[in-house]
Order: sequence, then structure tokens, then C-alpha cells
Amino acid sequence: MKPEEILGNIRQKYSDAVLLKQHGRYANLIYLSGYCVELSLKYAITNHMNWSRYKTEGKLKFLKVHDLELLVSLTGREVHIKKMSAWQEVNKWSELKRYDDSDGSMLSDAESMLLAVNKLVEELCEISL
Amino acid sequence: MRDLVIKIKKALQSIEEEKGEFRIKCLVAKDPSDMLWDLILSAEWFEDDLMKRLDYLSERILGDFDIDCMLHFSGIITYTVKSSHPLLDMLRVVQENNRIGKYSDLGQGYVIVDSHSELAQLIIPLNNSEILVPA
Repeated sequence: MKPEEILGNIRQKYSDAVLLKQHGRYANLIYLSGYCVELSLKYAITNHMNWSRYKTEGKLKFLKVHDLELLVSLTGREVHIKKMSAWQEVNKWSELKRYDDSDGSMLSDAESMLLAVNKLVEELCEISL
Repeated sequence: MRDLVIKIKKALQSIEEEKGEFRIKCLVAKDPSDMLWDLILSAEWFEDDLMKRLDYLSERILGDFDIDCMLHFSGIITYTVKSSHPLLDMLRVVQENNRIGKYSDLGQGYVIVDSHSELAQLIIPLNNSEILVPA
């Protein structure tokens, strides 16, 4: 995937997430938001490595992952990103299966997630959503 | 790893002096093979606004983390005191056991408890352990 394609994908998924919020579909919003962060990390890796596209072929097949922890470690900015409060929020949801403390996702969770995604995308991709 | 625990203990102590005690303060690792730790916190004084809460805690706790600390650290996860989850119940038990000296630290200055639970296999309770916090 080329960087501009990744950015387009992020914008599209973020727009969809906002629509989901308007329709009260908070759990799906959070799932989609996590995907935005994943794409942002892949964009940052592509930039960091000076690649023309995000590569997952051959010996790089290990990059075909959804593991945010692994991806952030390859951006060259792990310490900075992981110190952000937005990262703590996204990290919480990536651990949803183990750490979820509510009966269901609520509006406040959704708003926090959207805010966190905004901050991380801005930091990793240098764009505003 | 010891450096990570010392830095977190020191930061938590400073926060407690300013804001009050944490009800729960534990490091938790889901997978012993990668030893990547989440910091689980709960306190009565937590702000309702999650992002403000995380802004404060991230700045105070992670401020002087370097890459060596981050290699072992995943993130901060907070719960209000009203939250209920089996993980929190388990951490309360571990903290109480630690408080009464049920665990031994095997010389590394902190306790690692193997819970045999899928929720969090390894737990480091940060309450009342034997580790020395530099002034």
C-alpha cells in the first residue's frame, strides 16, 4: 500500500467511525478506530524506512500484523508515541478482551477513542482528520 | 526491568503524596514470553474525564522513560473505583497477599506473582513491596 493510499484509507475509516458514533454503534466505532491507528503506524513505518509503499513481502511478511505494540516499535518514535495519553487510550482498547470493564461501549468511550485517534494520526501522519 | 519498576514506584509515590492513594497499582503481563507490562491503576481521586486522567498520569509516570523502559512497557490502563472486572478482583487479592508478606522477592527487589490466569499471567504488585525507592 502506498502512503497516499494509507492516508485515504485512514480518512475513510475515520469518517465511517464518526458516522457510527452518530448512530450509537460505539463498539464498532472503537474497532474501526483501532484500525485507523494501525494504518497510521504503518504509514509512519513506511516514512521511517523511506519506502515507497508499506511492504509485507518475502522476509518482511512479519509486517502483515495488527499488533500495535510491534508496529509502534518500528516507527523510530516508540518512546514519544507511547508517552502520549492517546496511546494509553488506544492500548486499552487493543486489550479489550482482557480488560474491558463495562457491559458495553458507551458514548464517553467512543468520544475518548475518537479524540485519541485524532491525536495519534496527527502525530504519526502529520495530517488533521 | 528493575529500572522500570523503580521508576514507576517512584512516580506513583510522588503522585500519592499529591493526590492520595491508589486502590490498585500493579504491573501485569499477559504473556511471559515477551514480558511486556501494562500498568493497572485505580484510585478514588481519578477524574471522570478519561483523557484528562491519562494526560496527567502519562506525564507524571512516563515522563522520564527511555527506550529500555519502553521495551518492557505496554501502557497505562485505568479503572474507576466503581469498575468491576475479574482482573480487578484478582489484583486486589494479590495486593493483599503482598501486603501481608505472603510472597518472597527472590532477591530482585520486587515480587512477580504467577497467577496462572488468562487475564494476566504475571503480576507485580506495587504496594508495600520490599524494593527501595531512591529519594
